Amino acid sequence: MKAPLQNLVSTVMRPLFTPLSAAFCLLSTCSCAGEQNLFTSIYPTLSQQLPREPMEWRRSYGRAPKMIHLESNFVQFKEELLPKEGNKALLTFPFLHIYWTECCDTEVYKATVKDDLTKWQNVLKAHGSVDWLIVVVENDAKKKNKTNILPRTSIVDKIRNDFCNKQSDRCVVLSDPLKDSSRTQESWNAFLTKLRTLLLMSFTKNLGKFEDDMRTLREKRTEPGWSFCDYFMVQEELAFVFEMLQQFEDALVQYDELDALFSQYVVNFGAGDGANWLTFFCQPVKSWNGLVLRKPIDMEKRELVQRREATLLDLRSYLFSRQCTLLLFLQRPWEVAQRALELLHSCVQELRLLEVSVPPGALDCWVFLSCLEVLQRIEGCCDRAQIDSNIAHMVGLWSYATEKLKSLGYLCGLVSEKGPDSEDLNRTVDLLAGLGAERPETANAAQSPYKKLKEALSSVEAFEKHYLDLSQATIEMYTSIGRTRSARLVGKDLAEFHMRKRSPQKAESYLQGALKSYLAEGWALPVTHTRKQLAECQKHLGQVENYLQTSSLLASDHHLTEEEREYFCQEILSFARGSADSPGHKVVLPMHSFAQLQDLLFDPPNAVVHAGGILSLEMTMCSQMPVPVQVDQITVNVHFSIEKNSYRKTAEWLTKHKTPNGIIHFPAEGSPLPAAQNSLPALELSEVFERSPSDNSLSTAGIICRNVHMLLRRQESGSSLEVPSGVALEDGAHVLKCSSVTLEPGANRVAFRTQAKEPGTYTLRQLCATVGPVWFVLPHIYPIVQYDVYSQEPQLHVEPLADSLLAGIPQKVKFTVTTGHYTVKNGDSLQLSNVEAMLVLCQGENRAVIYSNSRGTVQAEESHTAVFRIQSSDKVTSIGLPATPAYHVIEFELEVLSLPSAPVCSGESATLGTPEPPRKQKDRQRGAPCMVTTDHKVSIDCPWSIYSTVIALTFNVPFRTTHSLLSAGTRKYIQVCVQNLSELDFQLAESNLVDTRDTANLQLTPLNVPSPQHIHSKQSVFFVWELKWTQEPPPALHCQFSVGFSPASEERLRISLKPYTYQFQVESFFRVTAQPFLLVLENVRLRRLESSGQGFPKTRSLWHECWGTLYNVKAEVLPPVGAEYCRTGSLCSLEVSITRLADLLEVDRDEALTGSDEYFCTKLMYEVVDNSSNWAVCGKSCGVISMPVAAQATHRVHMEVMPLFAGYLPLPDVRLFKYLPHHSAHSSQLDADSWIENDSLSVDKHPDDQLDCSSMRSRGSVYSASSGEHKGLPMPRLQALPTGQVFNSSMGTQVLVIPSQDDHVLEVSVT
Amino acid sequence: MLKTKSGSFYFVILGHHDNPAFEVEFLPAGKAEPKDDYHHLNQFIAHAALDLVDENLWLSNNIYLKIVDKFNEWFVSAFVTVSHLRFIMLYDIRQEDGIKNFFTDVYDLYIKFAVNPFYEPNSPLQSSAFDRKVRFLGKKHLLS
Repeated sequence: MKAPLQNLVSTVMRPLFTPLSAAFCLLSTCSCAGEQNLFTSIYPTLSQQLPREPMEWRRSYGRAPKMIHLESNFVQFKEELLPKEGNKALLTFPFLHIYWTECCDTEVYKATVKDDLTKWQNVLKAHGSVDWLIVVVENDAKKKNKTNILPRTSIVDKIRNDFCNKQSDRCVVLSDPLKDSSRTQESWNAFLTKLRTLLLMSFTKNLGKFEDDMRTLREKRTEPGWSFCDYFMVQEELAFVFEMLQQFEDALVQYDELDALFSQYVVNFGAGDGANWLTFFCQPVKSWNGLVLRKPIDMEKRELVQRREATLLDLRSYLFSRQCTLLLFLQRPWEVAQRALELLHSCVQELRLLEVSVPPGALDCWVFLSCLEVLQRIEGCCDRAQIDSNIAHMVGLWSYATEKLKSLGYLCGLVSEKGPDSEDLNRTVDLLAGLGAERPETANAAQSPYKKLKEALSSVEAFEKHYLDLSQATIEMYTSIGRTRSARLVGKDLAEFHMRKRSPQKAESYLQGALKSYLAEGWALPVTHTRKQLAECQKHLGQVENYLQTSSLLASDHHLTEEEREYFCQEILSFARGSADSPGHKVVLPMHSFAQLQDLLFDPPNAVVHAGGILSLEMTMCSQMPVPVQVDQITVNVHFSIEKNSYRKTAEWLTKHKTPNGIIHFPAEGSPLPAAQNSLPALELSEVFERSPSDNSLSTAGIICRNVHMLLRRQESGSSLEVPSGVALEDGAHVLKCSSVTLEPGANRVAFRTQAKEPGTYTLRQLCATVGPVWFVLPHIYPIVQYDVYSQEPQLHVEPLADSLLAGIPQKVKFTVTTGHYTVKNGDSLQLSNVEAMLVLCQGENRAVIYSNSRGTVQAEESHTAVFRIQSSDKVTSIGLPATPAYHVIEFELEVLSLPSAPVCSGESATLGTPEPPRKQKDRQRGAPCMVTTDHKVSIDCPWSIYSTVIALTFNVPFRTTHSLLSAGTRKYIQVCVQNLSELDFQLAESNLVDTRDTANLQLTPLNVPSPQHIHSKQSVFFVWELKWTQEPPPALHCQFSVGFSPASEERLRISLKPYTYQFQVESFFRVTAQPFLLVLENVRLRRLESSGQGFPKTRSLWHECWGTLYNVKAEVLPPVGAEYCRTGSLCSLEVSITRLADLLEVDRDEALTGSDEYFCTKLMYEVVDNSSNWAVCGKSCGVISMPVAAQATHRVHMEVMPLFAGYLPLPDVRLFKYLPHHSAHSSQLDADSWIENDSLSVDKHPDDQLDCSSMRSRGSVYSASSGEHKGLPMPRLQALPTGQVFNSSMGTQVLVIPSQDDHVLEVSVT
Repeated sequence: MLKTKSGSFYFVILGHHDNPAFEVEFLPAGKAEPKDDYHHLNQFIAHAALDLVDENLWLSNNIYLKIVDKFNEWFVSAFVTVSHLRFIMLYDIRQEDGIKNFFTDVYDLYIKFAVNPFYEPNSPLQSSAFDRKVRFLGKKHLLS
């Protein structure tokens, strides 16, 4: 029974990983009966020839056919070899039974062979075996010897006849097997083919039957008596067969099925569905000697399974060893490692599920040994390079082994400082006992898992060595394949070991590494745990600063218990107390773990303060400590910089550019969970296209990442997250301090006060809390917090309270003194140099408002009022300022009065004097006339400056006055128009007009309402005086108009106001003029001046104004003869009579004057104009008349006019001009200066008149003097008669025109 | 290191920066709260298992990665969401189906939660509703 198995063993012990041929080998067994000697002679050839040719093996259940080589064992036929009923074995009996015979003699056949064959057949039949073959070997030599032999076929036929009914192929002939002839060869081939076919057939049949039996057995697993071990043996047999056929995959499947079946049972057991047979495996673990993988079949364990004595570990170990063997055949060593890890874990689980009692440490030993065994097995069959590239598969085992060795070390007291005690030693001995004796196959090896474990457990030193080796190896492997986190975890264990061994210096780096990784990824609990270890480590190492830093972090760690936090807090505090005596030594720690800055509040809120001012600053610090901490002092380091930008220093700018409420919030740094901070930058991907240069077709397209260097950088080596302990302390001159503060856990308010010194910008840089020699420093305060100190020069502003100041009435002016850095003392005063025309009205008590500079945010109560005095002397008004501290504002108001100076009578009024309607219109179009302004410059001496401040105040004169001379016949009137240009209403009273020259025989009679008059804003009031003279009037009349005025709204004025005065002069025409020529020349000169842009006003004084009436013009429209009234459309006669009222006067002496000594004539031109188109002038509308210069000389002109409308029509205008004939001298002058002549007329005539003339021309007027078309020709000129020289006595008269009778439509125009 | 507690589960959601965004522990009914010391061990194991999750997620097309690591008696299963969040489960009794269903349901839940515009991705999930629902799912799939 052992024979085939040994055969099998010898087969599988072939060298591993020989390349397999395409075909596989079936090693079957044949039994041989018949002539033994014959077989012996044939056997060598047979055994050699049989495997030579492959056969196709068709398989059941749709499995793929395979080519296999057949090999066979030949054994002597014995009845015992035949399988008995119910035998489950597959490989232990011969498949094919062959009967060998050489018989060629019928006699012999009949005598012996036939009987023997019959017996053989009967035995086979009895055992139900149908796989048999009879081989008849023919030998030519024998044939020759025996002459009486029957024909060759007869024996074979006989045998066929006797035994092979219907199965004639069961008998084959082998001819001359030992010869070397073609016939022999043929015979052999036929025989071998037959043999192979039959062998394979038999095998397939048996295998199928076996598989069926096996399945049947498996289906019975729910039956009570079913045993897993028995079934295991059956299925393993199948596995063996497949293995023998080199069908390792199939073999492995058998074991995997067994594995899964067992696992399922265990899981079901865990779920309460227990099978009886499982209880066999629940025996307490007594042996833990690990996996054995060096032998292909661990017979020892197999027997245990067979005997149903195997423990769970035994079964698992055996099963895995078989799987391992097959996997290695399949060249899958990495799967071995992977499965091993799984197995070890699941064994531990299964033991737990089955509640198997395991001595402490036993499993650790088993796992450790197994790990090392698997690793050694794999290393034994792989080369270095293969191993190096497959670390990922192995490292799990390394790690597991390390882990288990560590726990063994802890269990056996090998890690403690003192070494193992007796209890530990006992435990060690027990554990070693469970290992049993070392297996023979490794007994001689220098290294074996067994030896390693034994050695490691033998002494503290050996353990340390082995443990360190393993750990280092594991860490290196993890690191090399990038599993840094796992490496950290092993490293942390290693650190713990080092700590136990009192070598903290070795532990530190591992702890730091682990901590960095946990911090980077925000794992709070590992961070806390690692920090705790690190704290202990640093304490042992005496790293005071680091220890305190870690302690502060732990004291603020909410994942620790309150007691632990307090402990670490006390560590810091006791250090601070303990080393308080040694001054100079200080420990700088980052602040964030101690306390966090939450917000900061400035007062003043805009964080702008003037030099010398008080700035207070309140910050909220959230203490992270679990207990109240007495802090010696909290300082804020301030960086001072002088702002170069000068405008930034102004209080106004600063006020605008600060946070409105003065509160600065600081972002909470680091939530309780340290969030991952090293977020990688986003991928910067871009497309890349490469085109072939020939045809521009796309040859390559791709994507490149432009920031690979950023992304692929090792994350570990990035910025360290733990704030380095070496915080740079700034040593600035400017420091805000707050001493003796107790910081309670949670939010605390800390107030700082400082007096601002130098102007500039102060930036809060560092925050530092000092507890004895321990300094908690916040190296950078962010967001940036600044406050500004500014210095301001004292300033004085004077501005009118209203939009503009009005002259003549008291006006308020606001004085604003910004004190700046100057402190106003008692007795300081503003010295105003008086201006004559401007009074500073000082009355009663004056109040000034004083308030702090930083306005806008300051509450109202900060301002107060103070009384100040004003003293006036002739030249100086002194305003005594109230005592005011620096950086305040004094505001007060003063009343000033600009005395109404008599405005110089500008000639404007003269032109405006003729109240002609079109002209007024023009004025209005020009827009509201501006007020005349007066500037007063006040120089003020301020106490803070040696220089005077000059302030200009502009006053507007509220009135505009114009005058005009009016005539009524020979009576003359002076009209003064006062126009109120201001927004105020005024009362006018006591109007008065006086002749300043006080001409004796001149009298001015007022024709005005005596009572005070109201003059509303933007309105005018007229005053009229009649001018009477008894004798010849003076050449010019100098008048002064004065009127008292006061604001109408004001109830009562405290001071009497000066009246408004207006001086003007009315010049008469009595003045004796110079020679006419001279006048012309003068005129020309004047025009030259004009053209050069000066002297126009002068014309007014030069050009005389005449106020005596010279001519009376009277017009009368008479109805046609015989008619009572004028009718429309009918011609009426217009009678114009021009009467000279005076004799020759000075004014008449001009070019128009002709005549001799007594009789003088002057040339006048009349013109009839009807602008309202009421009349049509028929015939000449103008003409030149020669007027005798004598009183009562009258010239009559008769014209025909036609009324165009019915009604009361005003008469047409009759205008009178002085007609100046051209003069030769004048003309030559003009020739020389032709530019003058061009517009010679326009000088004398108003532009409007030109317009009128053109209209006259259009009506067929002969008048063409004004046109400039006769260039160069001597031209007569027209000169308007001055106001007052002509009196139109018919002005305003109307004539009744009745409509013509035949008119159907009555048109009535009423004017 | 062998602990006697069994049938307990530790679940953690990992953000994109490998930071734990949410964690919860499920203990079988009747088991007392474990000692505080063990909480951090869960995190240690889950953290170390991240290496293997990151390796395994490239080897599989599935978002459920099954068991990626073992640590002593602990199994570590992982689930990688489409947005590359990782769910990690530590447990000591194999329960593949329950864990898979749990992961799937929590993923659904998370998606609903993550569409909340006020939730900043990767920040710790502090919603009590989320916690309650995850605990319910745990009871449903893991502890039943």
